[in-house]
Amino acid sequence: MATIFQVPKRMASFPAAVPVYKIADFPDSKTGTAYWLKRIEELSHGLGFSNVKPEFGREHVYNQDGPLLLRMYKASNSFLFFNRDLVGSTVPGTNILGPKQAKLRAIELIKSQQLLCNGTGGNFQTFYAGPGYTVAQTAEVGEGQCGDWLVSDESEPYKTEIRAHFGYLINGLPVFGPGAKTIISNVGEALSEEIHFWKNPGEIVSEREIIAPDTAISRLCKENQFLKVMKLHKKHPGQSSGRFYDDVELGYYATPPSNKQRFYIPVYKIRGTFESRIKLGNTKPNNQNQEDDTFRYDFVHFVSAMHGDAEGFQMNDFKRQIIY
Amino acid sequence: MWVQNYPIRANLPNSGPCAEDFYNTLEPNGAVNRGFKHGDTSASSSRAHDTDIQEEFSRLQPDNSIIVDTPGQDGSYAEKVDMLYFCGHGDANQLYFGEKKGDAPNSDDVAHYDDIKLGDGPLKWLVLDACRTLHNTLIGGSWSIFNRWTKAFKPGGGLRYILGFSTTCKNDNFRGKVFAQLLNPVPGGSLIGEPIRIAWRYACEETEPNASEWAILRVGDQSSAIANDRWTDNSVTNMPTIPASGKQKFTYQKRLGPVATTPEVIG
Repeated sequence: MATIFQVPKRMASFPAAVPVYKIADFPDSKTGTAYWLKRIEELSHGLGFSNVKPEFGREHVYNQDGPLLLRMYKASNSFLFFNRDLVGSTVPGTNILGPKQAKLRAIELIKSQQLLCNGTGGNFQTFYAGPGYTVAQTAEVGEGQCGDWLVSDESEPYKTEIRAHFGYLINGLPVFGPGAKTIISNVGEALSEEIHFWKNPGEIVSEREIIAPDTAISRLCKENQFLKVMKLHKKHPGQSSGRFYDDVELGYYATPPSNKQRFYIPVYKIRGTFESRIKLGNTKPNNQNQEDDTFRYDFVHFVSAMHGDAEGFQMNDFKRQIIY
Repeated sequence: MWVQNYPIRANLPNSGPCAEDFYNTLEPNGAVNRGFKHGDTSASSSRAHDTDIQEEFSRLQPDNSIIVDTPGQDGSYAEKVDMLYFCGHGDANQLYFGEKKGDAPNSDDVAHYDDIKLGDGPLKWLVLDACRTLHNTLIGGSWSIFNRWTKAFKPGGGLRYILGFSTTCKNDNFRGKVFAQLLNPVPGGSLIGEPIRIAWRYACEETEPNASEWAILRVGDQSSAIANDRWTDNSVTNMPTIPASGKQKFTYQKRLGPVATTPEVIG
């Protein structure tokens, strides 16, 4: 392993053990029709719908009213709202709110929807933002001559909407993955979207001993894609290199909102990079600069931090997202 | 179309499931069939298939350079479908394929933006589920996004969109399916399928963490009707969207993610 991937010499220290949480129960789609109807009605009213006509799909419950769409995820109790006339528009926005104002407004909305609740098993879930978490979104138009496409450098990005991003902590640890985010966007004064991907943690089901970060890195290196890269390195010495960054983080992982997830288990987030100049045959040189000839692969992997096997906590949907 | 086994690069084990699920979930829109699917694990000879994949994008020219199409010829396979979903390695300048194409001395295993010219056939929407292809950076001085991937839009052709990422992205096994679900109408309901730009936005939001940045490059200016293209809209024809000569506008937008900072707890 050390022949190609540099392993960080010093990494942060982590607790000896952390809890595994069960995801809090909510009614499933077969028995919970009344629950979904009530939930979609409550949310719709707060989001400016004048009509509530829920439609049940296989994985989602929808409410549509003109350009407004609310999509609820049966697997996770998450939801997505957007206004098709506003969201992602490339028309320059007028009166785009400042970051502070947009964030305050977003928090007000979240509070009114009672999304700032704590987990059902105790006071362990928190919601966070940072100074750089509210960001104006931009678009840019360029014009070029057909054929050479050399577009004028005069094109400038312009603001279209502003997005307030929020993340989650459980018991002080960050929750990684696509299923742990809330985003609220405005175009001018109007709400253009609300993304709320989150599964409330429930009771603690066990306390698991945590492996050291370098053990997690060793586990990662046993994955096929790493074994393969190391073989290549042996075959073409000096033409590739890689490193793991030293900012290994401990946290939990939330799968996408369409996945039925049963537990929050502790994982390490491991980032790294791999560079290679190995070529097949006489590859023609690229015409822009030398960097083009180096293949660079930046990766982020999530490795179970639990000591021992993860039996009982593994799920099919997880298998490709977390390395056990 | 996907590449997951790379002879000289890190493998991407989720490329196959991602692109297959896109293909299997997307519903034909009227007269258009779903076209082809090719990947490096779908046949007994993975080597042969990798070559086929690159063939979809590229034609070997007499001078052994790679180009996707040549004037006066029918479109390559890549151009015979309305939407092409590529899942594999990429960077700001190129897509990476599994095998060198042919034995020609100058052939290689990449398709550089200079090599790709699409638009002769029905292809309207190109999805590059690969890292950083639509990164807007000043490479080599003035190589902004407009001067790189706009070259894939062939003058006189019908390509309308390239959807991709500005940053690195996960090799995700769900994204193709989520994207197709958003494009499809919902049976028995009032939903007719989301506009392509909205479907890509939320396919990425559903499958990527907060830091990733999806991006879209399309034909037309800020108010162009192309902004509202839908997979289910049969009035979107195969007519060229780009003139054979003269000037053409393009619009680029990307998600700007949060800057990592110390969390400020709310509540």
